Amino acid sequence: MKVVLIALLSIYFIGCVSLNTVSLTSIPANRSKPVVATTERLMFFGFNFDNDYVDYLTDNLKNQCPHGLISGVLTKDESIDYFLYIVWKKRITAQGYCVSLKSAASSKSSSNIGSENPRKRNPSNMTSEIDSKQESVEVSDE
Amino acid sequence: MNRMWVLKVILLFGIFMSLASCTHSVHIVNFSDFRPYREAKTAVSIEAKSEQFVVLGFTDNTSYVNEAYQRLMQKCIDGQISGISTQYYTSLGFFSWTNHIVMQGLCHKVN
Repeated sequence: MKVVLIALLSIYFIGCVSLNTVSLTSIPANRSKPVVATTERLMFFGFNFDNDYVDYLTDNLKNQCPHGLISGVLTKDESIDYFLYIVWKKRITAQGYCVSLKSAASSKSSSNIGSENPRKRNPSNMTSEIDSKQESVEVSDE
Repeated sequence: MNRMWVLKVILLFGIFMSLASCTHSVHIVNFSDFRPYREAKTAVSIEAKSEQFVVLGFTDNTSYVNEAYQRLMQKCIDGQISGISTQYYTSLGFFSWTNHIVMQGLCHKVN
């Protein structure tokens, strides 16, 4: 019985990875320029005093696509256990595609990306006059 | 004697927890936006799935998520995919479980 118990407990002594969250944004048709960024933080006993490492991820992605639009972003938030969750790591990975604003603008009215008259926000999430006026706009891909 | 009793209780509890099979637990459901606005009739609904079988928690990667991502894009090679719903759930089994990723979206072909 002790052997079985030790075998079960030994699982927690092995570095295993688990997925916490995953999200994906709309994927563009032009996928010629992929961008990837990863950020991680090692923790002891779960001590963590800030979440600034997440901001680094955004900056990193921005730097890889300074004059473009990043779309189709797959974001994974993982936890890697090294030892009984005394030593563990949080890792966030974001990967997507950089689409030049030029091509996005050429598709102009598709969305208001890069346009001078940005689409008004409709926080109520309901169809309103704003939507009914703009839905007839021809849409093309970036 | 007492020590053995405690060990037995821990062991039985562990086994009991592991026997709780046939359960499906949704961890997260995520939706992307639907822009740019296109006519719904021009879009084709696509779906991609992938899974990872895990025994006693032993796993060293989450590449199955990337597999689903790639499969979704392969189903809409020259088009834009919007309105993507991403589901992440786990099906529990006997001392094991299966992680599932399901991605569904609308493929808009570029003319």
